[in-house]
Amino acid sequence: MTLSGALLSHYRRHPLQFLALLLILLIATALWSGVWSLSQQARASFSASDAALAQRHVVLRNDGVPVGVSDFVRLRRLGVCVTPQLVVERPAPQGRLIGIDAFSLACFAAQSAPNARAHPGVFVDIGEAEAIAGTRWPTRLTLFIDQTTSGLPSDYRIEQQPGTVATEQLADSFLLNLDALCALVLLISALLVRSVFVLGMTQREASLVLLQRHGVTAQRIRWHLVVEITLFALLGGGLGLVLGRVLARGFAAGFDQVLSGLFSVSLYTQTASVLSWLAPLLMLVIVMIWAVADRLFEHQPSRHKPAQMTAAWLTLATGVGVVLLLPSLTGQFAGIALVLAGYGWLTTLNLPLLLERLARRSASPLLSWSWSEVSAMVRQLALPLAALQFAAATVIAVHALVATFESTFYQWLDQRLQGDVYVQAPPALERQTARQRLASLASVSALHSVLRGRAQSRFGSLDVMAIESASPLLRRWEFLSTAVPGDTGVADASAGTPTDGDTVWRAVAAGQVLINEQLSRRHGLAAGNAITLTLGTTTMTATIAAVYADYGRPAGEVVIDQALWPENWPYQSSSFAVRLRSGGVESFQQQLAQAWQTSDVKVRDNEAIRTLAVRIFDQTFALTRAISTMTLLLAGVALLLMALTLFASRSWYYQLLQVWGLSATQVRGWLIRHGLLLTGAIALIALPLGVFLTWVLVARINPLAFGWSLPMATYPGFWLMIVALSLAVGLVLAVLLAPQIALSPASIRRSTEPHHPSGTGREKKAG
Amino acid sequence: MSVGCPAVSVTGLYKSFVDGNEQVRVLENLTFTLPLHHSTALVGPSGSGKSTLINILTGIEPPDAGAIRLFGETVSHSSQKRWSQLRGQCIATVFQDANLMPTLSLANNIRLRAQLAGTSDANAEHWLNLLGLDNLGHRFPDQVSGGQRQRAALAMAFAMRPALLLADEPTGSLDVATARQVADALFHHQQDTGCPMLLSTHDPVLAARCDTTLSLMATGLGDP
Ligand SMILES: Nc1ncnc2c1ncn2[C@@H]1O[C@H](COP(=O)(O)OP(=O)(O)OP(=O)(O)O)[C@@H](O)[C@H]1O
Ligand SMILES: [Mg+2]
Repeated sequence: MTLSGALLSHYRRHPLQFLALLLILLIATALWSGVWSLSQQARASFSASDAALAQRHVVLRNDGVPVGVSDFVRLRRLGVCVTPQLVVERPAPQGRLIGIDAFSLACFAAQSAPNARAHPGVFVDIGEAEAIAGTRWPTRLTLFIDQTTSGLPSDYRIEQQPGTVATEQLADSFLLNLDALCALVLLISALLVRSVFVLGMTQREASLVLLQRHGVTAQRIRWHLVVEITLFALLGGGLGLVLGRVLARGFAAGFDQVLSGLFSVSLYTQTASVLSWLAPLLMLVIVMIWAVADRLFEHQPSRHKPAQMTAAWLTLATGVGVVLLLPSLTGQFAGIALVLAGYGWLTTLNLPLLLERLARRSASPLLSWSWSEVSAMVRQLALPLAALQFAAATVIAVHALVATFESTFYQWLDQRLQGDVYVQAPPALERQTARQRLASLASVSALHSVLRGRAQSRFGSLDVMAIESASPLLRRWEFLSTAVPGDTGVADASAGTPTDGDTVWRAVAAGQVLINEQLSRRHGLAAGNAITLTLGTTTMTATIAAVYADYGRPAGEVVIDQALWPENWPYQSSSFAVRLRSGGVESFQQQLAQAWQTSDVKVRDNEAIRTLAVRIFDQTFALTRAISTMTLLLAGVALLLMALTLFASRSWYYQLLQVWGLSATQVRGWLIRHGLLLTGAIALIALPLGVFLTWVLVARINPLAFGWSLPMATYPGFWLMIVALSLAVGLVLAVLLAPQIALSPASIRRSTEPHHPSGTGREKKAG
Repeated sequence: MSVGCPAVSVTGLYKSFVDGNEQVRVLENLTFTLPLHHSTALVGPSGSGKSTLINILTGIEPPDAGAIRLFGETVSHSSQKRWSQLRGQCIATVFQDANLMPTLSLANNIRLRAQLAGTSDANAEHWLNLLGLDNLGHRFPDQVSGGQRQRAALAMAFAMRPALLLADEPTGSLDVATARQVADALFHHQQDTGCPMLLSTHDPVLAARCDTTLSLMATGLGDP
């Protein structure tokens, strides 16, 4: 028999193990490459849309009226380099459509011009877009201008497209989140690959020693093992990559909605190039080699416990330190990785010690055996258990983040959306007239008018929202902190009371302003500070009365009373929030159309806005949730497979108990208890890690990525679910292992006759 | 269990295995008794069915036909529950190897075996001393020699105060000198307690020390 034959015969005798290894590799690679390919697609989409929006400077009319086709025609005639973009908002399945004009694009600098052919189906000709939109869907026309152009008439001005910069940040942090998930899956995969390899080595230790005794050099054996693991990687990993592509395609639809909902970017589906296949495969091989390097080149792993313990504590401490001290996203993620590694390491070092202590302490020898047996299992399954722990902690943290965000966001939305309907002021009518006519309608019980514009400040340009501070529709706003005398700063949004609000609104009426959390965090502005704003030609300095939460967009925003709005400063938009007394939205719309003498009244009802906002966030988090849940699933399956193959070395001791008089049912009972204890303990130990991760996400990463933080909330109900899920894994484990503990003459022969031909793999007993 | 009856009484025992298309007849019409207070050597060439017989006598392998009585009780058709009781409280089994829980100290192995047998006064140290394992009670199985491990296995068997001791090549993996120590311990115990013992072995010297010998013939060749 050749050397490879001798080595591979191991798998001929253990076909289950062969399949298990292959399956673990396959699932891990599939998941990892799926996420990886999605994040690559997102990156490509962002850069494609960046190119398309390179001309980010837009033309606005100084009188505040939205630009139209006539403006475009006029500017073109004057020789100004402008190009129109018509955004058609189509409902869900079709999504947003962008019409562009290839002809007028010609005057733009070559590299900043969008390449319409690169995005079939997303960008279409403007005429086509107009035809598609017809009167069915709302459209928005934007005129982009080449900044280098000259000759813009004085009744127009150039502005950076609102929100562009902020969207970039948001997109970056979104990508970073994906990358982090990707890294986590890779980490877990590496752990599993390693455990697979260590398993193979341990089980074949006897035959490897035998081969060496027969004169085969250690060097040659190692090379064979390298070839073997590479073959495994290519076979399992290759299949996994294919499956990952399929997985990514399955996710792509939802993912596309997230991208277009949040960032107005369409998923840019790449055709698979050779590189896109080779890169992940190469990554896989590197990770595999890294995962097994120390076992490959050093025959015995270092078993120096105290040194390991110190190293584990150091890793954990460094991770916590990095998280606390480094104010950068990359730093945060690196810190998290260290914390995960350190915590997992400590768990697998200390849990067996704890169990052994319990074994020593218990008065009943049987109980003592039970504890020590679980301890042996933990040592054996350390790596897949650590992977399960990471996955459980991540799922807990992701769930807490999503749930907290949802509830905070909905609560905030409820405070904000006090009107039943929202209407845009008619362009043709003077604002006060429009307001009076609206107020006089029988169906209106209360109303509030809002003006929006962009002010200049030393922090750059800021969104300004002018409100009527006396309006009853603002009463439910809650503030993160206030500086109004008699008010206590409220740190927790849910603890705010209407009384707090009243004093704040009185301060606003008296000329103070409010800023959003993003602005406050980004520039270290607090309630009580002063801020100087330039509104058109008017410059004013006002005290910040309070900071409010704003989960809508990452942009900074200032709220002022309408009394502060300069007479001659055009607004970008003017709208009304209306609380209806009676009758439906339909009849209100009809009444309003009459009062304003226009057929073009656009009424958006509260419910619709809410639904839209909720949908966008649901999509974002559905993806994150799905990935983290699948990681948990992967870890669970890997644990089961590893246990299934490794348990052969422990099953005899359960049989021995039956030789000693315990019934098969009793011993099965012990096995079930052990399975439950194993996974239950891991889930419980994962809880603090999950809470820590949650804290890092809401208190560290969110402010860095989005500008706002969230209240820290924990969800014990969900913890229970995770623990229950883990227990279920433990139960399945016990059920799967049960056949192995059946006492039979064959297993007695295998276990008690050391020279029996099939007597391999019995562990050299652990102390 | 009645006093005065032989420890084991087997009549017309048959056992065969199907191996592929072949039927391997291992035990054919085997009849014997193990008297009380006697040690019996179970000998026969490899594959003659020694281990199979011991498995049958512990209820782990069911016989094809034949009657088995333990201390007068007919157990040939006993339930698994009864067999568990018998294994736990009456029959001590010692294998060639792997008789101990590797995660427990020698002393705790002995205590565990005694606990399962319901023997409350398990003095592990006493049994360890008896077998010359003084001060080794805290050691784990992988921290002692093979001979010491086998003696600890005997200590466990003795500690449960068995009514019958079955040993399947207990010295099979030991060198001559160590095997002798282990055998000495077995026979001392047998003489001290009078516990009937069935000892399967390939070692003629060891077989010669027993009171009687039960020989199994190589039936080997089966019908096609
Ligand atoms: N499950 C089985 N299926 C087929 N044949 C079996 C089975 N179990 C045992 N045998 C056969 O029964 C015969 C007796 O086996 P047993 O282990 O009892 O022999 P033994 O006398 O103990 O041998 P040794 O001295 O080598 O331990 C052997 O030929 C063996 O191959
Ligand atoms: Mg045998």
